[in-house]
Amino acid sequence: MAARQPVLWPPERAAEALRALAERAGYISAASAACNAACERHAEADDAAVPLAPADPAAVGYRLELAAAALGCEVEPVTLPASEAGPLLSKAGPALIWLPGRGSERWHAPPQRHDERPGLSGPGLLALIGASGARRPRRGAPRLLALGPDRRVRRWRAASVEEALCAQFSAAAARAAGRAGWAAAAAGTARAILSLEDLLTAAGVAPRRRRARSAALREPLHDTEIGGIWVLRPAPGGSLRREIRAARLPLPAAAFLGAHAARQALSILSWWVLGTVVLSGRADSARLAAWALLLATLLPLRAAELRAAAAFASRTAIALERRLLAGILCLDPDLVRREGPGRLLAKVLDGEALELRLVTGSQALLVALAEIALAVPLLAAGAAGWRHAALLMAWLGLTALVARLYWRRRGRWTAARLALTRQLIERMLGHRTRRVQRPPAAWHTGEDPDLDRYLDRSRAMDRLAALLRVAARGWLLVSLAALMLDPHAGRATARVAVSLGGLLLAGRGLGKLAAGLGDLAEAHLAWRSLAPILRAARSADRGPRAEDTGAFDPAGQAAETSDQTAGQSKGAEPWASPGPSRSAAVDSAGGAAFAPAPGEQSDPVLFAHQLAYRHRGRPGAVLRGCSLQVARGERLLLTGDSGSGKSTLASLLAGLRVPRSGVLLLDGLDRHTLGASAWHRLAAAVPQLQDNHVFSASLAFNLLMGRDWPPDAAALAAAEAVCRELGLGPLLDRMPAGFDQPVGEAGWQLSHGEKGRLFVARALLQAHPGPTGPLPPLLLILDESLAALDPETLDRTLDCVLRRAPTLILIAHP
Amino acid sequence: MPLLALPLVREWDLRLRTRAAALTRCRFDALAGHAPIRAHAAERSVRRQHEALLAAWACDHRRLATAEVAVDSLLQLLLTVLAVALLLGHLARHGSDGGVLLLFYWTMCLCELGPALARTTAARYPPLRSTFLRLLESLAARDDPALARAGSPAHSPAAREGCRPEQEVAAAARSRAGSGEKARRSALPAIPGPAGTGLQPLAPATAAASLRYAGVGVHMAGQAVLDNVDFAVAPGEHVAIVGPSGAGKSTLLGLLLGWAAAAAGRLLVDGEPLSGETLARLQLGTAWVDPAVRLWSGTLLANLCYGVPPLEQSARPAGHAAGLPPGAIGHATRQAGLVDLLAALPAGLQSDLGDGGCLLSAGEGQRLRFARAALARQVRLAILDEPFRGLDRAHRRHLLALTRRLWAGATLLCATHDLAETRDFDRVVVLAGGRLVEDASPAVLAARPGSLYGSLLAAEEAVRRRLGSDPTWRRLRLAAGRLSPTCSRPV
Repeated sequence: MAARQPVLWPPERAAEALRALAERAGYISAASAACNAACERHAEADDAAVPLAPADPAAVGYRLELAAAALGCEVEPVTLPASEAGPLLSKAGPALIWLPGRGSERWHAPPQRHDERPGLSGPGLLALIGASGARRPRRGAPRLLALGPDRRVRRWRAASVEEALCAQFSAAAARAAGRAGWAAAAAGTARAILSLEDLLTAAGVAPRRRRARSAALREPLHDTEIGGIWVLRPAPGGSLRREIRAARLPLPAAAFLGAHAARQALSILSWWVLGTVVLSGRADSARLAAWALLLATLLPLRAAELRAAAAFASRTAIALERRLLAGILCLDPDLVRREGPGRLLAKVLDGEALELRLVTGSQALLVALAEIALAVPLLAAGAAGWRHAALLMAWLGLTALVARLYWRRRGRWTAARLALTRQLIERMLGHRTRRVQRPPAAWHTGEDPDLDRYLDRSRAMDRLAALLRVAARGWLLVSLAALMLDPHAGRATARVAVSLGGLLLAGRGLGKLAAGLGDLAEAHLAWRSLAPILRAARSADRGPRAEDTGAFDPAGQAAETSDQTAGQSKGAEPWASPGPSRSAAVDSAGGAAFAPAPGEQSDPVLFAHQLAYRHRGRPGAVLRGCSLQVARGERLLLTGDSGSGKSTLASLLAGLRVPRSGVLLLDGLDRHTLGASAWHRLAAAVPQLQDNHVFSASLAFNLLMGRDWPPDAAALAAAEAVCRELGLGPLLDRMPAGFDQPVGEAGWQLSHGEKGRLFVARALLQAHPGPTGPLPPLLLILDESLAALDPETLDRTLDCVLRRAPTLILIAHP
Repeated sequence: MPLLALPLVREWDLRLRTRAAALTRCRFDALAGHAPIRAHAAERSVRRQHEALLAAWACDHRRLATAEVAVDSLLQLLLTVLAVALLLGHLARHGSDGGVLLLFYWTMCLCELGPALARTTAARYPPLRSTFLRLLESLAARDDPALARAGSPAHSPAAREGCRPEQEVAAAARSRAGSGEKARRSALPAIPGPAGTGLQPLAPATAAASLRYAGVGVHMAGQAVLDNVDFAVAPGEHVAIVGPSGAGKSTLLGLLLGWAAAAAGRLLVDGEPLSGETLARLQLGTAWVDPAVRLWSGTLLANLCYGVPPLEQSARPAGHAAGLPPGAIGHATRQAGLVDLLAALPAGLQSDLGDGGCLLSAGEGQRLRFARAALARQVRLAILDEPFRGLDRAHRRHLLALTRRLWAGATLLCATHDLAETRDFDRVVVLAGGRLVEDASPAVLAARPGSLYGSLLAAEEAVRRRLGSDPTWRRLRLAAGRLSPTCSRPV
């Protein structure tokens, strides 16, 4: 206890703690950490600008959010049920845990009680790395590893951390009870704990009897959720190799392979034992017992092998699922639009095929290779010697050749199958149209040739699949014949038996190889069709500086920039500096660069100059030089003919598309500086009805997806208020499950008008974390969102929007 | 053994499958809702939702795997004991001979085959069964049986062929064999002569439909969407249907298209109750314009002539082979104002519109839907549901007038939120909360004090004034790729 070194990070150093932890976890490299130091300084400067209550978890969360955005990783606030905090804590790392401490103690104050280790009484952040011994659970709680501000790793008992976490309620709950966004601990519970603590002390329960104490302390908390925990996650996407490492795939794969090889080796050994028993003619009980023991040893090995295979399968699936979703979210919106639902659904289904085939195929391949590798020395040791092994190699080459041909045919078959799926989905989606508009005689026109082509390709593929199987079986015949006809082969019984064993093993391996190659061929084809999605994840929007600039036309950009006034180009330097927080950057860049001309409105939210855009595949540009300034609080009505580019302009302003040329600034910053996701957070847009979507999830998710999910009570209350203002109250009352009612394809069906208002409500409820609570976006863009509403509802909706939207751009046809 | 464990494993397997389906749905949602996710910066919410589903899936997967390993280990134990016992018994009886090795080989094969069999029954059978049942379900669903019986002589060839696959295949084979000319003549009703080239409408040749809703009620998900709706429409009458959002307008029209059936009351068309046969007959003479009408991935031309498909590949352009009067396509294109669109597309009529017509804007899509409906012949009933959404007021007015001229002789029902446009109609039906509350000529309704129609009209006027002349709004107009301010003009 001599070293009274602080082990908790003070709230002022939250960003530093996050960086140290992320570096330690390998989420960011040291190099990128160094270049991120600048961002961090910005964040800290911003922090200084915003007066923060030092021990407010909401403020700490905001600070962490900012720091994470700058570092290119994510922090996710989680709550743990108090009753299971201990076991869950050991799995939570890397995470930052806020320990507010009791009452007025300072984070570095010496402990007031003898039984407490120094430092674990907050307020402060515990940088949890993980648990030691979590993989080999012993009796008793695992140790938690935590990183201190001095970068030293200390071990803590999970129970003591848990106690510190739960004990906070004794004092903190009373303080924080009224504060929104913090774990809901009723003041009553806090009082109960206080008295319990005293009671335990009075009852003479020795402080060292931790388990009894903590159990007693935990009891009244059993249905309380503990907040103030932020789990650190790497940014989605990134390189595939890192993902594989993060998913810890090699471990179960190696375990699987090792167990399988050991099992094969043991079974060969058992053959050898039995062979010596039989061939020597001495059936003594010792050898037979050894043989039986060998067989018994195979059992746990097999169980271990199966377990490893299952772990491999589930980890692969999880990694792939995450990667696919990350990829989907990063796809170019125009690409998604062009592909349409039919092709997209086919791709989604393909993802499943990929998962399944990849796992079964790679497992079969690994096993097959292991078996063949074992068979080679067996064959070499057998009657026909190395000649036999060479024959196996030749046969392997032949199988690979057939497999390659099969893969090619399978590719053509897959293309035909995907085309059929796409058409089927399109016909299903357009079923009503077909029934009403198409004469029944023509309902099935053009289906036969497609089916014929598909059948032809299936037949061609199946022929080769059969050949692949035959190749595996044929090995047995060929190798047997070679063994019998080989004039130089030894005729010793033992060696022939060894040869036969090797031959059978190789035959089995070849059979599995054929199956594995077939599966892998399909997986590879699915991979190819999913490649754009999987690749997209690599270019994920990681922080402000990693923005993809591919869509920009540099020449046009240069030309347009040269048109800018001197005052604006002077501002180029401050823009280029990374500024994770808009308010800080506005102070530094916005104020200097955009000195407003007299008479002009000051501080435009949105500044667009000479925007141009041309759709891919269309001959003419749809926008040629749109200039626009929108001041704070302004209401803008945008009209125009159908097809004149209103929606395109809206998507440019909302950051959904990148202009070919021109300057576009949101709150004084450009897209490169803000990053795509920050842009979307600051500018909420409601896409047109046809582009919008009701998600197959709860109504609450559909309303609150633009906020932190899962929502807190305040968010749900806000959602209810907006719904009632928009006249969705009766609908909400009609729904049996209220906000939890599933909507979308499989759930409650909403009418056009209800959908339209749901989409508006979604944008009105959008918010991002701020220092004192959720901040609404700066700008709201409604793209014909009011078109499906009758005049009275429209009036009501407009009232609500005007009341709630800070700055509004409305596209409509009044 | 595996059969004994089957019920347990099957249930867990089913749960795992449900979880996997939820994951797939989540992935599809992320694709279909790509634009809103981006626009609301909801990537993290979606990822968290997905992560929760994934955790549940992983949990179930682990549980299923554990159960499977347990079953497999037990099985292996039994088989190993069996193998040892067999071999020792053999050794005890026959001493050690070469047969022992053979016996051992086969018992070891048993050890491999047993679990393989178990896997087949326990792991493969349940999904195979559910897939098979699902497939059978859709195969068993015949094309609407009522349609198969549709058979008044005037329409029978087309209707019958569509419903019997073998006949349809035969018809396709016939046309392929070269007798397409004859097949086309027999399959299509009489074509109105090539008179529709001028500005006069492609007038319907047959009598317009008469409709009668007699106390119709419709229920969906336990809620009454329509309740005791009672009114009649004379042949050739043009009726506007208005009402607040969710009043049941679309459902009222959907009854005529066959989307729902009346749960109470009767719907009479030409004096006959609307059922399979009459519905099929009615559909042949129905023109339908609705944002829900699907645009297909394919060329603009194919989308235009979707209702009148070509029966054979001929040397002549597709539009002519469809049996349309010459010039009809050009006429419809001009009428619907698609000329601008043609100019903007890279390959004119042969441009691909993308999946679901997604490369068109909302207004362009609506005009294309209108043009497609305008090419339909023998129109007895026109059903318009928000027909010109996404177009500006002047366009909407123009196209509505055109529509009413085009189908002047047909019965026309038009559901719309555009109150001002309904003033020209013969009659307005006002729905509210699934009930018919007002039904009279627009002038009468507007003049009646306290009418819902009047209040809707007033509300529309107020909104328009608000957007048109309220000084707190700044107005901009986008034209020719540039923005220009518009002066606030009083309406």
